[in-house]
Amino acid sequence: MSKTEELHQSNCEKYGVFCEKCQYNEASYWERLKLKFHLLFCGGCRKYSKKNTHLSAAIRNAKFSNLTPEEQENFKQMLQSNFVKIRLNKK
Amino acid sequence: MPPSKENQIKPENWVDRYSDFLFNYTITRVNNREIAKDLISETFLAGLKSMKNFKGEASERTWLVSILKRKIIDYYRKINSKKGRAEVKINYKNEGDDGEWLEEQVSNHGNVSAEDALMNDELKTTIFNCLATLPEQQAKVFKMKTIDHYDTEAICNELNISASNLWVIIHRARKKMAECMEDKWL
Repeated sequence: MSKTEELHQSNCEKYGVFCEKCQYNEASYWERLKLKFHLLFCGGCRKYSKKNTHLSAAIRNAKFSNLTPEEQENFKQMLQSNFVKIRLNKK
Repeated sequence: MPPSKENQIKPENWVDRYSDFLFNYTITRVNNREIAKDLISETFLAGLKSMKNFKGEASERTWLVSILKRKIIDYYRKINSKKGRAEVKINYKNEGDDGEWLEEQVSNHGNVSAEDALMNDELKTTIFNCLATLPEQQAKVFKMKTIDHYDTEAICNELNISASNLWVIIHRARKKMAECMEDKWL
């Protein structure tokens, strides 16, 4: 990899992070502006930015309904106590 | 045949690894949190009891899902036998409506979204499958941030990482997720 290519890649890594922050609405004004400016010149980042937006949309569409941490903890306790019981029964 | 190394049963990991997948799988089918939780409890219990029957041919998750499927079918059998009794009592609304089929009077709401539910199911499964290909730390951070909607600060505190570290992890995770889902969904 040539030096300029390497530089380009690490640079895009930085803008990639800005792009992620945008997806979660956590980018600062300057980060958003810098990203927009970079996208004007960088086709690779433009492509990724588009894909990234689609990824966010897909996850929104999936409408996950998840267990709360407490519910997971209850499952863990239930599993553990029954695991011990089954082990004891075998012996 | 003893189970192969990668397909061994580890009940202590079940909740962390599979409970979200199983819960989402169940809730699209029974549409009720409490019932879904009960069914998953039963599945885990049945899994514990039949651990020695696990042959290591399928992955642990596939095996658990096959148990869960049976539990869901049992659940529907149970409520359907109750429903059967109720259906006998349905009356025609008016004497004059003799041309209408009874089926036409039943609202069609459940069926309209059946296809959507199927698509949604497939999408969720793809997301979970892709998530499973990520390194553990990336998967964890991505899931907390994107699916469980934790605050950046809360994740940083819990996992003891800096915010900039978190964003780099998120970036790596999302790059892989986008790649993994690209063909079909993006």
